[in-house]
This record gives sequence, C-alpha cells and structure tokens, in this order.
Amino acid sequence: MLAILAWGFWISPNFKEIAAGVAIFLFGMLALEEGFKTFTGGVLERILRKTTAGPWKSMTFGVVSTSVMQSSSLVSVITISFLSAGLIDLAAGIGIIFGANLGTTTGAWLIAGLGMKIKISAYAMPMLVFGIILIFQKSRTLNGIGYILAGLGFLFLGIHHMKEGFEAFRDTIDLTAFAVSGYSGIMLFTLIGVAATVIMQSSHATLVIIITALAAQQITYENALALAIGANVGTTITAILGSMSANVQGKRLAAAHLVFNMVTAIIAIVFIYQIADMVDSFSSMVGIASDDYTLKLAVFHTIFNAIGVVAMMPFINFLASSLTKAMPEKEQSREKPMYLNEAVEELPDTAIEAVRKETLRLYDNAFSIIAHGLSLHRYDILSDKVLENVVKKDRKVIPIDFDDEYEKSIKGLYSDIVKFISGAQSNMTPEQSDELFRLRAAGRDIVEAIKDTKHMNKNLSHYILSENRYIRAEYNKFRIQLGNLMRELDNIRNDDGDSLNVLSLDSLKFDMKANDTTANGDMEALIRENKITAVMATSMMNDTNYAYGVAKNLIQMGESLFASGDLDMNEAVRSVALTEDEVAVILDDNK
Amino acid sequence: MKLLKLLEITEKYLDDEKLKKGERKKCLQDIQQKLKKKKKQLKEKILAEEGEEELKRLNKYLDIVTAQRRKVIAALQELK
Repeated sequence: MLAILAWGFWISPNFKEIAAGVAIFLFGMLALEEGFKTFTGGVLERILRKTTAGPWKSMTFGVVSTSVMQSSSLVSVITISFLSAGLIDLAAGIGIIFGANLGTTTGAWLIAGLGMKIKISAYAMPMLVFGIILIFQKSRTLNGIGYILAGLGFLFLGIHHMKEGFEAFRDTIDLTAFAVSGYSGIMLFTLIGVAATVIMQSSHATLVIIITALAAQQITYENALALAIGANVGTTITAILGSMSANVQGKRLAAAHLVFNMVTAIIAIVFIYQIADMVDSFSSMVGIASDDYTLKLAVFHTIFNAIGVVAMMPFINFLASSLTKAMPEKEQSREKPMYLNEAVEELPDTAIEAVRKETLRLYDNAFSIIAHGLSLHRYDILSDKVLENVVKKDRKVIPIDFDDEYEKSIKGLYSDIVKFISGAQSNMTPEQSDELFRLRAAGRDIVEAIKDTKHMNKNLSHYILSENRYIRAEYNKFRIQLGNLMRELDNIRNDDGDSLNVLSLDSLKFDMKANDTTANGDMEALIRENKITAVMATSMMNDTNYAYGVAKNLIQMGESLFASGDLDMNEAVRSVALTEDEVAVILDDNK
Repeated sequence: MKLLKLLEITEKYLDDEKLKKGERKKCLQDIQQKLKKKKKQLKEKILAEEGEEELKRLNKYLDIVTAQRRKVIAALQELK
C-alpha cells in the first residue's frame, strides 16, 4: 500500500496533491471527533436517555447527531459504547444506526453544495488559526470549540487540495476513459467504493473524493452513483472494528449495521436506474440544474438511504430478536465482569456507568454471602415476609465458607473493577475521576461488609442455637436489623428513577444509630441482671461493632452505587445527604 | 445594553466555573422542590395517622427531610 502510494507520488504530483487532500481531510475528521467528544460528557447521555424510548425517536437522534457531528463513525462508536454499558437496548441502538446512515447524507449535500460552489479554502485558514489558539486554552469548552474549528479548517483545506488535484489531473489524464457502463460497471465501482472506504475508514472521505472527481469530470455520473453505494457498505467497517472490543451487544449492533447497509445497497443496485429517474424528477422540482451532477449525487445518496430506512424500520424489532438468537450471550459466570470492556472506555460516561453496573453485580454476589452469614436466605430478605417471624420459625444455621465464597465470587470481579478504573481515567474531568474513585470505594465498602459479617458469623452461628434465650434474642436482633436494612437497600436501589433515592438512605443511618444505642443499653442491662455471662457479653460487645460496621459500609456503598442520575445531580444529592453527626442530632432530639 | 447581556451569557457558557455553579444551583433547586413536596406529603400523612408506631416512623422521616431541606437552603445561600 505504502509502496503504491510512494510510486504514485513519484510519477504524479497531482496524485500527491489529491492524496495529501485526503490525509488532511481525515486528520480534520479526527480533530472534529475529538472536539465533539469534549461535549459528550453528560449532555449526550441525557439526550440519549430521553430520545431513545422508541425506534423512531432513536432514528431521529441518529439523524440529528450525525448531521451535527458529521461523523457516522463517531455516532456508531458512541452507540456501541452506550449499548455495551447497558444504557440503551439493541432496538434503540439499531434505530440510531439507521438514523446515522440517513444523517451522514447531509455530508454529501455540504460538500456538493458548499465545497464545490464556493472557495472554502478562504475560510479554512482563519478557522485553523482560531481553532489552534482555542485548543491551547484551559477551559474545556473552549478546548472543544478549538478542536471543532481546527477540524473544520482541515476538512475545508483537504477538500480544496482534492479539488485542485483533480482539476490539474484533468489536463494530463482523462480517468473517464476507464469508465465502465452497465451493471458490470455498477458492480465494479461499488466494490471500489467499498475498498476505498474500508481503507480510509470514512465514507465522508470517499464521498468527497467522488464528488471532487465528479466535479472535475474525471468519473462518470453512473460510476459515481455506484461508488457512493459502495462507500455506504464500506462504512460498516468502523462499527465492525469498534465492536471487536465490545461485548455481544456491540457485536449484534455491528451485525445490524452491516445487514442494513447491505440491504440498502442491494435495493440501490437493483433499482439504480429507477432511483436515478427519481433523482432527476426531484432535482428539476427543487431547481437543481440537470447537469449539476455533484448535487444530484447528494440527492441520490439521500434517496437510497431513505429508501433503506423506510424498508427496514418495520423490521427493527425482528432484526433485534433475530440477532439476539443468532448471537447468544455466553453463560456469564458470577466472577467475570459483564460490562467492562474496551468499547465502554471510549466515553467517560459509559465507563462510569459500566463500573457502576459491575459494582452492583459485586454487591449482588456479596448479598448472598452476607445473607447466609446472617443465616438468612436471600429470598426471605427480598420477600415481604416479616423477618421476626422468619427468624422465629427457622432456627437453622446456614453453613458458609467465607474464604471460598470470597475467592469464587468477589475477589476476581473486584480486582477486575479496580484494574479497569485505573485504566479508564485518561480523558476524564476531575469530577468524572472523583465518581470513579467513589465507585471504587463502594467496592471496598462491600468487601469490608463481608469481612465484618465473617467476624460476626462465628458467634452468631453459635448463639442463635443457644439455650440462653436472652443472648439468642440479641443475636436474632442483629439478623433482623441487618436483614431489614438489606431489604430497604434493595427497595432504594430499585427506585433509581427517583433522583432523590439516595437521600432515603438517611433514614437507614438513623435506624443504624438507634439500633446501636439500643443494643449497647440492652447489653448493659443483661450484664447487670446476670442474664448473660461475661463471655457472652464480650462476644456481644464485639459483634455489636461488627453489625454496626456491616450497616455503615452497606449504606456508604448505597450512597455511591444507587445514584444513577447525571454527575451534577448525584453530587448535589450527596452534598445534601446527612452526615452521621447530623443524624445523631436528630436522634437526640427524638429521645 | 443588549451587547453587554450577550457578552455576559457568552462568558457564562465559556467559563467552566460559572457553568458548573449554574448546574449545581439548578440541581439544588430541583432537590429543594422535591423535598418541599415530600415534606408536605409527610405532614398530611401525619395528620391522618393514628397508630403510634407509624406516627413515630413518619415523624422520624419528617425530621430527616426537614434537616435535608435546611442543608439545601444553606447550600443555595452559599452559592449566592
């Protein structure tokens, strides 16, 4: 490839100018994507959550976002990232991809309408100068604007060089001599379009070459149409490459992208002459000159993609379910991460959400260990049974090997979460990094809660079978209080639609403090009245602390893990949550 | 006058600190509204409740929500 390019540069300075134009254009695309990524923090996530409720809404999101950012590749990568983090479902993802295909056709309009008609290189220079100055600013917003301006500047400059190159080419060689007409030409140029886009990984770059070559009359209109169809198929390479590092959901989306673009291409190839007639009718209707082939190509690009969307939209759910069946999810073991992969690392928001979901899985694993450590069944805690009755009815100790359970379902997953967090912090704002640290601390709280339960378990297993009804009642109290706390935590967790759910944890802090005070008071009374032995008293004293530790760690974990709003809201809610001292003041007032 | 206002708005959008402050204020105001509603609902429930245990529980919630609201108001004052 490099050798062919070098040979081309040596024999033709015009080819060199065209290739340099493509390189500058691609560099502009990178800068543009970098700039838009700056603005993805929070805003895009909020919009995406609100606008992907149905297939049509997600499609509209795809059209608008691609038209604004002028990169269907960036939209594909973002969609795969959101899908891998479980922020959207597959049908919504497919809708976005369909929309992105339609949105990307605005690029052809801009290149054909503006790029070919006005001298855009005149705008490129000031854009580059202002862009570069802004890139060096401290403000994240200015930095993002700088990248977008510089990106646009490079795009314009790239188009200018391609245009100049093709025009100069015209004087030395006539590429239309290589034109092939009829269906064999359509197939050949479609394949060339696919190959060019796969190599450059940008359908925009292929389109700009096609349009500039068409404007310089170096390719025929018919072959240009076929090249545009090929560019549409070739662009799926970005999604396919992006999905390599994603989970099965990301792979399904890439497959959907390929299916959609293949179906659209087949329709366009089969009905190419009918669509070309439609283009002629539409062009004369809106006043596009019959020999303005660049704009007519843009019309063709939009029409055939719109036909694809109309043809495929009714089958979106069928496509999603077929792909789910064809690419089944592997049996996920409890100790292996489900959401942490390279695809979610693309965006800080998705990385944070993936870590949150994975830590929630860690909590789910820990839930069973803690429940069994209290000799309670998970299903009893999660039911609406009165736990006092459960404890009274079932006086059996559930055997548990803490070390084995920890090794099997906690250690591996916890290590993977910590490792992922360490690698995911680049490109994050301080607020986003803080959120990741908070989630890491939540993982540590879970581990601490397991350790405290383990310490408590030895005495608890012994005393809940004791003949001394007083000590038995005290240990059963620990079980009931912690079981109720876990039930309440589960209710708060499931109430994640309410941004204030984390504030409900304050009432658990209140109960935790109240229980601790009562337990200490009860213990003193039992010792005074000789109802428990000194050994029992020391065990109880230690275990009161452990029970307090379990409750405290689980509540702390909930404060970080159950907040599912955007970062600003989570931060504001946490700042309003009561501290232990503030809860103690309310407790004193209530006495 | 209009130009000054336009400059002020542009400055607000380009200054990360001011933007952050504005976002925080919006979030706190949202929380304040929701807590106000919650407090009102709790007061109505307390008036209708007769059971001693439930009344104690509701009063506990009311105290907590009141303390949380106080924190929101203080945070908003600080932002001013």
